[in-house]
Amino acid sequence: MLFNSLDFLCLLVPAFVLYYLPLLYRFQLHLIVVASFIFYAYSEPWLLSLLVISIGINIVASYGAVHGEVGHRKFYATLGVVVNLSILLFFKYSPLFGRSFFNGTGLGEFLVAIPLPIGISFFTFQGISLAVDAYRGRDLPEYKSIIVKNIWQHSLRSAAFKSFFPQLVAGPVVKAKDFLPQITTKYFSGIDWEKAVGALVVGYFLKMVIADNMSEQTFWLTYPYFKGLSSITLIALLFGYSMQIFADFAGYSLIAIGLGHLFGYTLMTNFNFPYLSRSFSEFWKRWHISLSSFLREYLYIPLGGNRKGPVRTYINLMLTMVLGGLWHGAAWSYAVWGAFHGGVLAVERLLQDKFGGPFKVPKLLSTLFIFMCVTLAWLLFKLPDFNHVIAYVKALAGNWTSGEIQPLILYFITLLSIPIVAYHLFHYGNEGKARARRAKWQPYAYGIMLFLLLTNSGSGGAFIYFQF
Amino acid sequence: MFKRMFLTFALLSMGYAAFVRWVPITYDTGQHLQGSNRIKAEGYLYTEGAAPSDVIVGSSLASRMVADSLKPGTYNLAVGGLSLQEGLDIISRSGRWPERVFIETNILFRKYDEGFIKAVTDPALFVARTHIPILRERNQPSGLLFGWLKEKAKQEVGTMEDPNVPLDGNTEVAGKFMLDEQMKLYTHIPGGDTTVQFMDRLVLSVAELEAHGVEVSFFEMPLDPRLMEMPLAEVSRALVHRYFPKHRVYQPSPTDGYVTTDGLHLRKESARRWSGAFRRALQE
Repeated sequence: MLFNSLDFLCLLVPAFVLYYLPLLYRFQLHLIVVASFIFYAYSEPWLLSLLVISIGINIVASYGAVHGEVGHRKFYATLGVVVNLSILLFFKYSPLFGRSFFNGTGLGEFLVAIPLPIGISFFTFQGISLAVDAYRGRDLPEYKSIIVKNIWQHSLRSAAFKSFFPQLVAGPVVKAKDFLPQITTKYFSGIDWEKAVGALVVGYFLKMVIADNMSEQTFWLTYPYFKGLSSITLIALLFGYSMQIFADFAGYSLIAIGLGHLFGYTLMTNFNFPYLSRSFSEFWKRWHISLSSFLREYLYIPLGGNRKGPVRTYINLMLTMVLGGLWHGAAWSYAVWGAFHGGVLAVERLLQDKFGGPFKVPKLLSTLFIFMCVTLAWLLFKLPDFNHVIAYVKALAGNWTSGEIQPLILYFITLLSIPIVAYHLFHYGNEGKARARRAKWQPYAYGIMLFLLLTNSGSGGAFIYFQF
Repeated sequence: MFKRMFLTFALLSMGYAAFVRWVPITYDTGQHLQGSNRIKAEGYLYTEGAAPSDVIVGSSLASRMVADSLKPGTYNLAVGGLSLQEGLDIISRSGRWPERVFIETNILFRKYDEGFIKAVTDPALFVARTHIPILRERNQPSGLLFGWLKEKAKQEVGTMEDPNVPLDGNTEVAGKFMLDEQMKLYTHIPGGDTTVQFMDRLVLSVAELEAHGVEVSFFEMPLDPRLMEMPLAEVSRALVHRYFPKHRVYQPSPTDGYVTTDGLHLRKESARRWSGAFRRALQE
């Protein structure tokens, strides 16, 4: 079910009304679970069984890690992590293994035919967080109150955490230690309407007006259509895709955050004006924050982080980003994309270690440089076939005097990028002044966005991150 | 905050509704392929009064037919990236029956796009768009602005039409590549079940049109001569003759000299010439 569909509205409105009925206060978690299951099962009901199995495993693992026998707690936590990763590996990467290593065999055909359940990357990561957080906090009194002793209550709370529909299929990746403490009775009067409406308006605007319309233009990035376009048009298309992927994913995250507020939950900010970053490490603190903080906490630091000398730090960075790349999709181009980011992060770190930092580079220049590198790397997202990426770069380099300049593409990419650029510039510079500026213009900006949502929405395609 | 937000929204919406209501928009406001398809479909669905006398349905091939060269009052409901069945369904769901329907038969076996039909005929949105024209695709502010800029540029610079400029921006490089790809595709013929399924559905649609007194004819758009003699083209042609033996079928000759951008789509000048030839064929 898509957030931008009427079907979703038909689920949301009754769920919201029932949720705040005083008579049903004590069934709020039940309601979240039921609404989330309907949301998830809507297009392919059989997928719900996988989600339920995954929830069941995580209930047992997290409960055992806190309330199990002392000698068995680590076993339960490890079991939780291993089973979650196995589910992810089987469903997400079997087709890649089938194509890469068993092509043309019966086994290869079987592996390639395994379907990818929607949102699996997100909910298995949340499952890992539940098992690991439970184990790490097993001896802390406050944690014992999060993983409650009553198994039925624990099951209900864990099910609500793992299936919470606003973020079930495309994040933000919520950690157990951030979500579970928020579980209390919620009251209608407690809704932060300003935050909820603000996030929903901006989120829907980014998705339906910017990303959906932009996707009609960036269609021309598809092989082989781009081959005949001029270098200028190809640069514009790449720029447009960079805007589109931001609008699409940041839009989804904001809608999720807004819906979370409607149900009384605060989900973490997932995007913090990433295209204003002045370094690659800053970019990863601003882009898909929930994933990068998850990878840092549950992968990079356990690998040793930066505690084992410079060489291990570079290797750990590289490994984390390659795995992070592969998390996005089961194709080698995603691994290359991750390796690119891991490589530049390692180089950035190396330069800092050697020459000290931060370097004195004009703010605008460093921001532009990072933006250009990040944008170029998005090509690996749009064109999962590496040969097509090479073909695109060749066309980009070689079509300066040949190829077609497409005024229609240039016009719409420029027009649709203006709000994204303005959105970032609004936050550029002094934070205090930026906040004052925002407070003054925000209501008018929201009004304009609502108007454009009504009159200028695109065709309502799926979210890019759904495929991950 | 909410007061200022909703006031801004209400003022903009009312002002824009008044603009769309009172300022005639005579130029093309299409922004992209899907958008142009929706404009055509909505134009047919939401126009009140009698249906146009002639309607063309088909794919992007027939959508290249040039309105100026066709009989006045002809409505081109051919949709790019889709096929004849979506156009036929739009006519059927609108309940506006024209005198004649011309069905392009080059693309017979393309998968039906339920999403497109759902998007333009969704009951709730249908009612809303009927009463609130600013919700229609052709009235999107970005398309209106682009169309207006294009018109201004035309008026100031004059028409920049070059007969060699392809309609879709495909260049020689891409065009050659696409032709090679089409040559490969045109060697494949869909399985018997698929062809029967598509043709049966077409038979039902034609029967429905004829039950409402519509005269139905078929036509082929000219392709690159090499493609016109490939297996897929020949099988499609044979199927139309087999399923509709008593209907008129207009067919170009491979020697007519029409030029395409990519093997399938006519260049602007050829599209104009073919549209004129088609009109004359109808008059005869």
